[in-house]
Amino acid sequence: MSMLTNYVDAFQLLLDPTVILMIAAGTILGLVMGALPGLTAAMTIALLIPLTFGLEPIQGIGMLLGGFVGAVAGGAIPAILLGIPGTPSSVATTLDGYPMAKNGQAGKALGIAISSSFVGGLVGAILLLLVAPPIANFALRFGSAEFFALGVFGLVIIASVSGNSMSKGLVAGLIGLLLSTVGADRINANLRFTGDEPALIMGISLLPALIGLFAVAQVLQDLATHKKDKKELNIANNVADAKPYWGILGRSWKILTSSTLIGTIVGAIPGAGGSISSFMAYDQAKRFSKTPEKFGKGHDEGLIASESANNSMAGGALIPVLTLGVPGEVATAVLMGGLTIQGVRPGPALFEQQTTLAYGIFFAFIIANIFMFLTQLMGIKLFVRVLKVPAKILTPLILMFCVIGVYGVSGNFFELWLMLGFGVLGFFLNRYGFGTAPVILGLILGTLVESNLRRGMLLFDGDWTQFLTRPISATLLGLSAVLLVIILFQRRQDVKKGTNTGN
Amino acid sequence: MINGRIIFDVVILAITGWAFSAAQAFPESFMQEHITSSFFPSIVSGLLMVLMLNVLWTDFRELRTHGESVEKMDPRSALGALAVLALLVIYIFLIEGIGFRLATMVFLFAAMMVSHITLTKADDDQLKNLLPSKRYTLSAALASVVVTLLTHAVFVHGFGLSLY
Repeated sequence: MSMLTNYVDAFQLLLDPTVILMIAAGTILGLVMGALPGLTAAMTIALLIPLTFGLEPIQGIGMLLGGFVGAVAGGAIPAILLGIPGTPSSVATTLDGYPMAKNGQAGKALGIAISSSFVGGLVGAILLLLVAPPIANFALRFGSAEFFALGVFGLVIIASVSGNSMSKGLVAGLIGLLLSTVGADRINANLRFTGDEPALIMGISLLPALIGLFAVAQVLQDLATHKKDKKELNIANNVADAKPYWGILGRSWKILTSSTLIGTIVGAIPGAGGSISSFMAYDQAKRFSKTPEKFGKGHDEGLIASESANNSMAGGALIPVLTLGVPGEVATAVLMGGLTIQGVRPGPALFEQQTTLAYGIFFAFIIANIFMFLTQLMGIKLFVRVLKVPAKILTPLILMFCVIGVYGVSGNFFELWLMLGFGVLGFFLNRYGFGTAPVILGLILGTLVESNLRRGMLLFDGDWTQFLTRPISATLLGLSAVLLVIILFQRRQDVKKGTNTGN
Repeated sequence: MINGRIIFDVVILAITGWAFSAAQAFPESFMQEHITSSFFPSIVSGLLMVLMLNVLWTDFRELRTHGESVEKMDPRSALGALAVLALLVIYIFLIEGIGFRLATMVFLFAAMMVSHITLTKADDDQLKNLLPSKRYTLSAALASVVVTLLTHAVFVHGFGLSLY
């Protein structure tokens, strides 16, 4: 089947009104959650997963992608109006967005952010559409040795998503790896760490782990560390003039282009993530601006750089997930979990065995970006109001959705206890600086690494040197080593500068 | 010097030690394998033990030299988080006992009350200043019923989930 036929078939899949409706619903929910400080893109996707169970795969995936796009874009709203980034990727947006709002230009700042997000998101999606199929086609040559090396490559990311302490990040990653060994062994069905619990025979379900670590743990942390001097939304902020500012974007086309490219490329590099891409784009824009002195005081260019980069990052971040089955950062790790639960197996086989669905994901992602733009323009006043929902109402509702998510899907009480256990574990892991992101990466990649290592050893009759001599696996292992050195070097530099972009 | 951080480190270390010893007892495979079922969990738990010992030592040394770096929890917030956790435990038991709808109504109402007490700004932490007003209590009760029934209808009839 030619690539054109794939695109046509996938496009037809998206013509179903229910699919469009689900993408729109996901985008709106994503925007609402992204607009609430503390609710990250990862948590948004984790909470959306249960909603997708009764849906067809493309409908469910569309909803998750909408949630991802919406949450990344929605983070700009509190960043501009309160100076509090809604998501980690919108930290750089506060630098110029908040000063603009304080100068009475909240509407203009939101308008620039919305239009920059749209351009960034759309370009990222188009690049994903063009780049992903050839990468997946190449990855079809992968065997056990290559998948093992790919898993190792993914595990290196743990070093970059670790917080201030690398050893604590590694501990969290190893906890995830150890948890991935629970259940019946994939090679010879030996039971490991299952006790007498039948629910554990198939291993630890991803859903209670995701919801526990990213939603329950976050709620507990927010309650335990609640600040009583929280910033209040200035309702005098005029958001009526939040409209697209194509003229301003056109005048800053160089910044827009470079930031979008930076966002996509950095997003595609496992371990880099949104906050790094937006800061890199911001720094680049300031460096080449004719008015660098205005940066940090409410400059359009700073806002354009940050918002276009963090939204194009989303498209870039999907490249390794869809083509190689390796999530590059937390939100896409959770998204990958959601895709797996939907019956989609991200990786090269996706493009061979579920071709129409794979290409449908690209179009769903583009449509989600269009919805994100339209919904924000039409409903910005509503999303601003979301910031006023009191935490005392929101907290019980989030917890109820967590329980519905796990119980409604499995009907298994053991999984509810598992979710609670992961919530408590996540709370302490966050509190004492271990972080929860490495646990999920370990849990997802553990099976890939172990089963391919053992399968490979069986195939190569115990000759482990095959893992190092086969060209692709050797290259991937080499790249893992290089990536690890780069990450260690970066962390050293960050420590010297007194900053850390880890979590 | 014993505090929460050290206790957490020790608990993780103990669980890891148990996992390492349990991994040694996994049964042998019936087929000729170069890597057995216990290989990967043993390596992972072994590494985890070494790293945890390092973390424990570092945390202990840091505590002795710089004191606790983790911000101390405000007693009201800590109690609030603990109360919400306890409510979650009760919620799970209640679902099993009285079904989803009734359990959710009870949980939502109780959690809204606890969250109000925990998250309300007050000049002093005296309970009388933090207790919810009659109006808030009635609104919370009404919201619990409406939200539960609405959510149940949407998830069961709209998304096809089974919530009994």
